Amino acid sequence: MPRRAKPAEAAPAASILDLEDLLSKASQGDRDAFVELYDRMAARILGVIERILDHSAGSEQVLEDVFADLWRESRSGWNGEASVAAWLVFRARRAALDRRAGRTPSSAKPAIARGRFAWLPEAEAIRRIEQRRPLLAKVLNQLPREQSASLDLIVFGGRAENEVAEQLQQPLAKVKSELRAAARFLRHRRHAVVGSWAVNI
Amino acid sequence: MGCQHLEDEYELYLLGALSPGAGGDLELHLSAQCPNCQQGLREAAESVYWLVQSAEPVRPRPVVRSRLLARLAEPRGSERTGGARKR
Repeated sequence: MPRRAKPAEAAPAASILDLEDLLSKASQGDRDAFVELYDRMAARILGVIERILDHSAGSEQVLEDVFADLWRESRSGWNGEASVAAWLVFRARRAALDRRAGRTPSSAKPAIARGRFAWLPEAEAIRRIEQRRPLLAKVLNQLPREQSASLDLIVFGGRAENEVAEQLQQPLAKVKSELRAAARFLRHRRHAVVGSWAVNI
Repeated sequence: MGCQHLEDEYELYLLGALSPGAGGDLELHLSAQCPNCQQGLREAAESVYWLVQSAEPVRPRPVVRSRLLARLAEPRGSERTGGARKR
């Protein structure tokens, strides 16, 4: 059984700083660099996959497939500015949701999964987020409970907003309104935490 | 193109969470290469990254690393495609 990582084992912010350098080496066929990248990120990525698959069998297979996909991507040309950590997180979420729904990976629905690097944050943007990780974790706890529950169903349950409304037995208009409010709140707080806005958190 | 009304939809779009039939306006802006929407999506992706990364890390068993290493050693073109293999 996979085991829950202790906080110290879970890729601290500093360890994602040069993932792009490692991938660049991997693109030249350097397997050691790729394995180091795996060692730094695997626990984080498996955490995402297990949360989506609810700790069912098959999580580690998805993890392996996601990293094998990254290896292939690195060999076929990588957008040098795109964040490797962000690529892994988006791909892992999509792959786990696909597995849960019994879909083949190629039928993933959002554009981010179809386009190889479309709208992926740049490495520098993700570095800024990682440097503020503890503060950002606090921010998530500030979301109102109903918004947090709806977001959870979307992020880790793969639900659409109409399905969230159905599951929570709430009017669709209310759910839509709350989700948009949550998105605004997160955007504002992200700007405040990683940017220069003044805010008390 | 005015796109202020789309700003609150970027995160939901990236998460594949917009209701069926919604998101058409945003798709139009994106297919027209709207710079505001492209930038908005890129920034929204930072929020989505942060949300998804809130999952608690789980350490994989060493055998996963070994299997991955074996796959990396396969010649290009013969690698198995993701999800195609059964354990």
